[in-house]
Amino acid sequence: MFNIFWALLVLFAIAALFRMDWVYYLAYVVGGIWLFSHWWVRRSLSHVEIQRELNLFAFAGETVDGKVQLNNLSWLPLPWLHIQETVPFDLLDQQNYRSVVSVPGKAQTVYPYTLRCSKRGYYPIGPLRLNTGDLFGFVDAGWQETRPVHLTVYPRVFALEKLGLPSRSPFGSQASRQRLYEDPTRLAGVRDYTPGDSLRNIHWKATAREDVLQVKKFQPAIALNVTVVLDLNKNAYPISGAVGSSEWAVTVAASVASHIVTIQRQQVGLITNGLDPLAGRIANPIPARNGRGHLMSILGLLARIQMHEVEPTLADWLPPQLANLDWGSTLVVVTPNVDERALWTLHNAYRRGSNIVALVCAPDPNFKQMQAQGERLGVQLYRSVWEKDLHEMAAQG
Amino acid sequence: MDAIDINAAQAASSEVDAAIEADESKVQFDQPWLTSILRPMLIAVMAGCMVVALIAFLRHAFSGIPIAYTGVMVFLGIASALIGCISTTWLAQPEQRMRRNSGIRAAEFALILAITRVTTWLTIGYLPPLDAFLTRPMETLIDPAYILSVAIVMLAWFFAASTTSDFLRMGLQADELYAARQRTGRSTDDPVPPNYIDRRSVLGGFVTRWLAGGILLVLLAAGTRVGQAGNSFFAITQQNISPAVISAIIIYYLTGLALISQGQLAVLRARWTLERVPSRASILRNWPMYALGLIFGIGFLAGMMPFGGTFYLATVISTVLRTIYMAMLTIMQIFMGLLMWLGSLLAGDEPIAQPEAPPPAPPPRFDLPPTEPSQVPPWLGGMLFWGVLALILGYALYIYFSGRGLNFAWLRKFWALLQARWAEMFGSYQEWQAARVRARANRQINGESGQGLLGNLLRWRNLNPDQQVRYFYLTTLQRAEKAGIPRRSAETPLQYAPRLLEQLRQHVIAREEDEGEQKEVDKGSPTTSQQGGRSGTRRDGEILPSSATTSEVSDEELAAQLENAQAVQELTEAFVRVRYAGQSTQPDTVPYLKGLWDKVKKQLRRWR
Repeated sequence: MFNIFWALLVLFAIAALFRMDWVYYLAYVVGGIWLFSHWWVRRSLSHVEIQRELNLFAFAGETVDGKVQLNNLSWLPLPWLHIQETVPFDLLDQQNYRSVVSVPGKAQTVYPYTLRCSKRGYYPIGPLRLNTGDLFGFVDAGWQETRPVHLTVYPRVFALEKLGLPSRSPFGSQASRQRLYEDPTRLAGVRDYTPGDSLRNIHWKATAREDVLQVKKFQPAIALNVTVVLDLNKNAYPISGAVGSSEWAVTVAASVASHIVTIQRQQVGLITNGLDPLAGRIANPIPARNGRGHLMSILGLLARIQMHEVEPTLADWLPPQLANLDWGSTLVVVTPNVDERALWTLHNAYRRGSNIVALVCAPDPNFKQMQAQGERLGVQLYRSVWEKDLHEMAAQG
Repeated sequence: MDAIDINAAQAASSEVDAAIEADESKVQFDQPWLTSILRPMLIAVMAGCMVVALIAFLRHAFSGIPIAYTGVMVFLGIASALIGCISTTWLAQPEQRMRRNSGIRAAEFALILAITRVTTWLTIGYLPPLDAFLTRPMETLIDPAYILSVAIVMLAWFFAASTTSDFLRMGLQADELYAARQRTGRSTDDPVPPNYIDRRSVLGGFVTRWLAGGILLVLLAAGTRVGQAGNSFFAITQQNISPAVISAIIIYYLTGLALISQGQLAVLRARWTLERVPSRASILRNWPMYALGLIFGIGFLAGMMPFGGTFYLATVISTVLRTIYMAMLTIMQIFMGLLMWLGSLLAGDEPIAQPEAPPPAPPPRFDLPPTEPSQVPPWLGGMLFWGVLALILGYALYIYFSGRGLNFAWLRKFWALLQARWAEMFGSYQEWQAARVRARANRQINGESGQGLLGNLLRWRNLNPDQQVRYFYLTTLQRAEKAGIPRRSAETPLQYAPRLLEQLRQHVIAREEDEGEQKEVDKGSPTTSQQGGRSGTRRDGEILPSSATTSEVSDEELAAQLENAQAVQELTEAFVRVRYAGQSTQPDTVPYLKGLWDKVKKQLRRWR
């Protein structure tokens, strides 16, 4: 830059031709600063240890604190270092994510920032870019993070009562006439021991009293799993407000899944026709399991799932998905609307032994009619409150 | 490890944000940059180094230059560079924007030239005598020493001023700061987008000038050498170049590097501010320290490098260059030989030599006629020259120093006093002049022409009949006024006509009596006066000759009076018809009226 190189050549030529040794001093000074600047800048970035500290999981509405920690391992200072963090628009919480700092030798500096998770999603954070240069403008150097990290923002989770949905039925335990499953917490009586009975079920007090081995009889009970079906077919949603209704449907599905796992401690699975941007195709079904880790995986999928335009409607797409559904499991269908064909499809699932609940998350003028028809067909239809109503209720306390 | 905790970093970041947010409503200026002292000092030092090297070369080239002169020139060069830096920085202040014009720079430069002139006279020790000042002002003002001084001072001043201006341009401008403080500074809702400066190219221009100037100084220093350099480890002390020159050139390079560093800081700082990137204050605080530390560190290390032993390198380079030169010369000779051989083949015989042309005739000489000695004193031109020069310098002083704590109240008071004296001295002349102008204006209003009779004749003959009638009557009035019979105000023409006639008649009678008395005196016999004639009666619109009262009037005179009365009456009636009745005059009556007018004129002329 700035023709320094050619000037150095000229100075050397003058020094040699005119035999003026002191001109070498000028060449040494100018050239030395030029060379040292190049060496300094290139070396300094390679001796900076960069560490980003960021919580990669958050719920919508939360604020995440992050920081970039820069540790200069060299004795030479960095006169200026331009830090630029790349943050998606939906996470912006401050004017920009850039700063210029000066890092002394063998010192550490921190660039803090905050992210506001206003919407669920799966957001790339980064790549982090660093730029620096010398004191004279001779050379610039930069560094860029090769791979960004991703922040998962889970959808909001509300209590079902707030959503206007029944919290006990139909997601509670169901009594079963078939004694395939027994509830060990609910003792029904004792009976004589027969070979094959578990030794853990022997009622020792009754055995002592009767002087014959007695085993416990439990009340027949079954904790059937729940499968949440989330309809994210773009064609099913009204043209106006499709985004808001689909987001609300995701929130309702997440709230139901969270309720089942955390309150009812039942197994829950997820079937959806939405697009998983991480896989680049329709999301794979998540089989029913219980536990908080499983809930987080469901919420993780719900965080990144996107509305998708698919050809088959719910009535056409759902039956193949229910082929492997366990008998007696509960099917919670979260959908923008339910038409007559969908009702008959759900009725078929009911006839195969499933408990069917449909949660409508978008305005539907025929809802009452469909609800009455669903009652006759064994399908319970509920309509959730809307998000704005929820915020109004929260504001009212 | 010196760790900065998160809280401190957050606090620093919030401080920067707060600083940017603060005072968004008002336009700010880049005061830290505008009021920096380090940068003008470095620029002045650079200019001083240039002057030192240049003067050393001039001393070497022109051996007659006295040492005192060179010393003063160094001082003047550095002083003018300082003045250039300070003035440019001062004019860049926001409150001086109204003074930021070429006039104040011209005044500043004129003052520097004047000081240089006086200093040069005092330094050389030759002050021209007074008669030389007056008779040969240009020769006394401009001499070779002064030209040399002006060149040096101009170079230092211009370099300092332009470099300071460039560095001031690299600072943040008010419109850029305003745009940066607006949230939507770059959007289209700003009707006047800021004029962003390409600071990178400005800095590049300075670096190019610095390098070129440095190489030029080295070449000038090479020109001052009187002998060969010594070949030893400490060869820098054996260059046969003044150590002051070497030191000046080295300082020139070091200060240039420091200025480049400052320019780079300005470039980065402007970029960060315009992009609203918060920057820590420690960057600006540490920057000069890092830059100066690096420059002096490298400078110290460079001092440890070997300098001697360039002889062999010079020999190698000279050999390479000589070889290249010889090769090119040989190739050229071969080509030229081939061309000449081909030319001789094509031309055949040698061309016949042309006879040598006779020398041109000498130009004719024209002897100038002897000039008469001028009546103007020879010192007048020189005095005028120095007076104008003093006025210009005084005005330059006033422009340059007004607003810098000097309001020149005493000078304004003195000027007002001079103006009063002048007005008093030439007041009468001005009054006379004003009276003359007023009289001329009145004459023009009254229709009096400043031209002669011929002009009047030429003019009134071009008028139409009505205008000619007006002309006859008005000129009659004018002549009557000159004769002492003016028309009174509010006196109608028909009222005025009998009075005029009566006055004329009285005059005729008085003249006749005078002539009669004179005749009697001549004859020596007494005369008897006769009273006769008819008493005049007057009706409106009719004039009759009045009777003589004091002497007898002859028949001829009576006929003349009747003619006069008729002439005045008809002229007046013609004028009244044209002026008040709106009737037009027939062209064939104009000669008749002209005859009447002539009679009245004749009578009025006799009145005088």
